[in-house]
Amino acid sequence: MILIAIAYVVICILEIKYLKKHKRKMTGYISIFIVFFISSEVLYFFNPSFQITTIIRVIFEPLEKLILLE
Amino acid sequence: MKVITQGQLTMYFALHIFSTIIAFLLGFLLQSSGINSPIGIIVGAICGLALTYITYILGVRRPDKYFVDYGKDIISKWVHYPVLFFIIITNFFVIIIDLWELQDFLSQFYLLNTPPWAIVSFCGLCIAYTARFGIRSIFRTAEGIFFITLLSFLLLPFFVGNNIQWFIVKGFITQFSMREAWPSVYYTTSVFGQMTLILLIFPYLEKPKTSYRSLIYSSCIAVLIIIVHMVPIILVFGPELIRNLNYPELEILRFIKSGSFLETLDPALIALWLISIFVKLSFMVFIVSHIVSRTFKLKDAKPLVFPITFFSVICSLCLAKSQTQFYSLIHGGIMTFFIIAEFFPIVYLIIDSIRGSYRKDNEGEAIQ
Repeated sequence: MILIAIAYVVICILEIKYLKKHKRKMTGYISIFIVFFISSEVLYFFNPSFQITTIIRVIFEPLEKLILLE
Repeated sequence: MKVITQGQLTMYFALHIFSTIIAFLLGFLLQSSGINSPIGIIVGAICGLALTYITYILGVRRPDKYFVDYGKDIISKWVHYPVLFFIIITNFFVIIIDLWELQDFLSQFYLLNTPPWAIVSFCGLCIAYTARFGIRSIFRTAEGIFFITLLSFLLLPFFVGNNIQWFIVKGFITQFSMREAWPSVYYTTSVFGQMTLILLIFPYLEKPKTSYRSLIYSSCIAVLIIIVHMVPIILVFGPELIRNLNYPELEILRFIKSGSFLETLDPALIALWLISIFVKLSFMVFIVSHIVSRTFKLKDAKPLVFPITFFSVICSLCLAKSQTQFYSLIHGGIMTFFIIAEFFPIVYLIIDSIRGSYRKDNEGEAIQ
């Protein structure tokens, strides 16, 4: 989890440099970076007990079985 | 703005489809449909083209505008933004699944004892760099490697010619069953249906009105190459053994003895595969960054590429612990999830035709 945070900090610094160089507004970008960072950490933290694929399986598996005539 | 030629479009989508199916889905299709998989590929390609045609009709009505921007004028923004979110999630899943399979494949055969995070990170770095250079670079890369990849893929039947068991050929007629072919029709439709992504890149096309013809050519090339690969695999291994192979393509490559100086051909062909997969995944990353940047009215999509790729890398590391878990996911409705995303343009087209809003847009532009 610490490594993920470090990687995001590095990416953030590099992108801020790029944005400053090209004179872009930073607010929108930084909020998106924060969303991705939090999502990554949450996903990694809850990984063994909860997986995002579980939601897909619950919703779409019965539908697919119906379509594939299983 | 208009940076993609018709040739590049044809080559990119052909590469996109055949690299996905040959590298990852071939084993899965052969397991579900056996000897009837080639029929499934042909029918699936036709269904995928039908889906793409609907998307093309919608896109060609406003060839100079971005779908992300005008979609909310067709159906309200309360529906359009959740649809875009759904498309982003499906694209993320395509990237995550392909990255996981790439990692699994490389760690099983070539990078033994290498930790998965290292493999996925380096693959992610290559993908992010390609995507960051922009859509022109992605399509040019596809154009650059297309012919050499095509040549290498078309050579396969000549190398395995001696090992083919010709008596199996009659099985294609005697064992024909559309019901058995149906799962591969369904899965192939979801891959060919990925051509619907053209809707998001219409303003980048040099000649948007003739783009559907290019997509037909790319589908024909992709079908030809996939069948050229699939039929020798069936004829060499037989209908029973193919149902038990996870990576039949690799098994057949290892079957080839090409001479004393080159023990097996697989490393050379795997390198070409990797480039094709990287090009495909960088396009998917580009599409996600494009949707996010246009939705939040950001001027530049480039700074979003690295966070998106890194997020995909983390997700792919969390996706599955083993191949059994991964296959239960693939059989667990993920293809339906992709197909639903490919059906959204139909809803847009119907509502757009009823409301006739595209005519007003065109008239407005003509007056200006």
